[in-house]
Amino acid sequence: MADVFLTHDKARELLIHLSANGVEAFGPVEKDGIHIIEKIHEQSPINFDYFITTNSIKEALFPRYEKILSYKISQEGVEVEDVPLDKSIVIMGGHPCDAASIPLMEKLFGWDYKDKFFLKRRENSVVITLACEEADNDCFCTSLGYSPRGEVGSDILLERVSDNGWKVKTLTDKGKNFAKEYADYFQSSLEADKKYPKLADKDVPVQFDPKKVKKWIDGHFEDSLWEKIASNCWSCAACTYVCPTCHCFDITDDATMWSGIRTKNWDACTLPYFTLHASMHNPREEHFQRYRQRINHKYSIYVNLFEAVSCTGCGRCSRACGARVNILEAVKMIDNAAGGK
Amino acid sequence: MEQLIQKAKDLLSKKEVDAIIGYCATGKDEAKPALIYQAEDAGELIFNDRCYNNLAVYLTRKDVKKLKKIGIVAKGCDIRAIVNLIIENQIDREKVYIIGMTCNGVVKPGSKYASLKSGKCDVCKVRNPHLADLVIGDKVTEQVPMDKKIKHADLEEFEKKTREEKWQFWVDQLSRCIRCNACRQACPMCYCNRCIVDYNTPQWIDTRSNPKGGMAWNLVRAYHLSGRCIDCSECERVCPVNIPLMLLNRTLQEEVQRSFDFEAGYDLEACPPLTVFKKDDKENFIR
Repeated sequence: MADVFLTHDKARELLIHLSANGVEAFGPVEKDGIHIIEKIHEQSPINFDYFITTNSIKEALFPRYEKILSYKISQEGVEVEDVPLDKSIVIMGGHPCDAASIPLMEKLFGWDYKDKFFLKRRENSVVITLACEEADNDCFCTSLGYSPRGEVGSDILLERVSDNGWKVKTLTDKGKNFAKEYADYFQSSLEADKKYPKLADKDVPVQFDPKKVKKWIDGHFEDSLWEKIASNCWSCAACTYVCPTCHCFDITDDATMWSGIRTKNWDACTLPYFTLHASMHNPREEHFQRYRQRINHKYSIYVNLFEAVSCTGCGRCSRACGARVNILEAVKMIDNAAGGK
Repeated sequence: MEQLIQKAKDLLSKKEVDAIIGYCATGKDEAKPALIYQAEDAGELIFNDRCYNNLAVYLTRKDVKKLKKIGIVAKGCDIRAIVNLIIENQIDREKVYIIGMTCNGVVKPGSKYASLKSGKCDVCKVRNPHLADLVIGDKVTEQVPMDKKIKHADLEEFEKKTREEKWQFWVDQLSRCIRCNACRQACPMCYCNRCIVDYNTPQWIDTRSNPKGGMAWNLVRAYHLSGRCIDCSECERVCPVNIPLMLLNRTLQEEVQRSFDFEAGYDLEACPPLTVFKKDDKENFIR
């Protein structure tokens, strides 16, 4: 098959075209000094020159808050209205560590209870990923078997060939159909710049063994190392909310006496009130117990349930943490502790 | 640094404190908060211009509160928080050993962990610690005299906007809030055992990360900090989505200064105006 290319300008045009035509298009915008993935509209300051976006693409499939139904109460009874879930979604701008989170979350949302909100959005979406050209000390995707140029979870992978364009790699039927449908935006040639690709797997060294980490966690629920790892954690949810795989939510009603909407909102195990019982007993009273839960869930519980670590090594949690709790350091400390065993 | 490490070792080995809250290196030219419990770990302590965290936030953490006596490495801005915590009866002066550090300003540009929109150190009045058991470091020149009323340039700029523009500005900014509570958890003055957003019977504040929830939460927090915010800018620094929270806090600081001629965190004897009742209050409704 002949090579296909896409320029930044055309990608911008494409996203705006999609958003104007009833597609929920998500793309990277530059706002107040940070890059975030958000829903695109006509005036969105779309920008593709970034190392990594602050938030992950998770928001496109598992929004910060999502209406799941609305209801009205009258003398005739309760009338419940479902939310239509038929919109097509296009997500452009995540990296392979974002895309890799989709199959991981799919395991959870498609598990015992089928969460139609996530699954339907997943089914309706085309995921267009940008291969990484840069990594920092917080990146560790290769330690979990992923790659800065990885294809897991993506329908199309864009590999930079110049400062203003990518080579297009269609990976799935969905991706192929998308490229065919919007062929006008793609082109058959683009002058390549020798400096690309800038990043290969070896530039992101493997730093620990997740199997060893799991084994240690399983035998050390009570261990003073947890207190050391999380000693400076102040229990906010910045780490979980920027994480591409954290998926906990809460359900609340926004209602008056006779009508309301029910929404599914992000929630986080790192917040003190996440596990507070009605009796006021809290099984995770202390900050380190909550951080332990976060690591434990990703590196052990998820593996028991779905045979996969629920972390893609993007390092967003470490970058977002104002207290400088660093997941890579944490997992490496565990890996070290597991040393001779 | 030598003096800091030596003092920490002494305090810990003589059991004068149970732990020391300080900074240690992250190995990336950055500093992070560290709780040191053993004298042999005191060597990890550092102090440099990357020590931007306000460590006073840890003084009210559950496990730290249980300790009998705690040492803390504190810059002037952190000491302002400690002063307020003492005034508000959250910590006992006797229980805290303050190692005051003279400071030439932290949060240098170029650190991805400390992107601040508004200047924090350029308006500092306490480069030399104003309350400490020991001061480490040479005396530095204060750039702003204590009696000078300061007004941040960004606030002056903001006040030029019309009411409608101001409202639109905050609607745009606050609808970006992801409700992660990093601002609250990083704030030394946000120590409520149960924050109003954590109440759900009834649910006073919308918990959703939408324009309504974002607005409700951030305004409630700003009001609760009025006359109490000590200008450390930690909330703004830790905000993952870069909301200019200090502009909001300073708007209220300005009001408090104008109405009550008060700035928080300098004087152990002064009470935050919104927490006291005075017979000579200038408002009629309260008398």
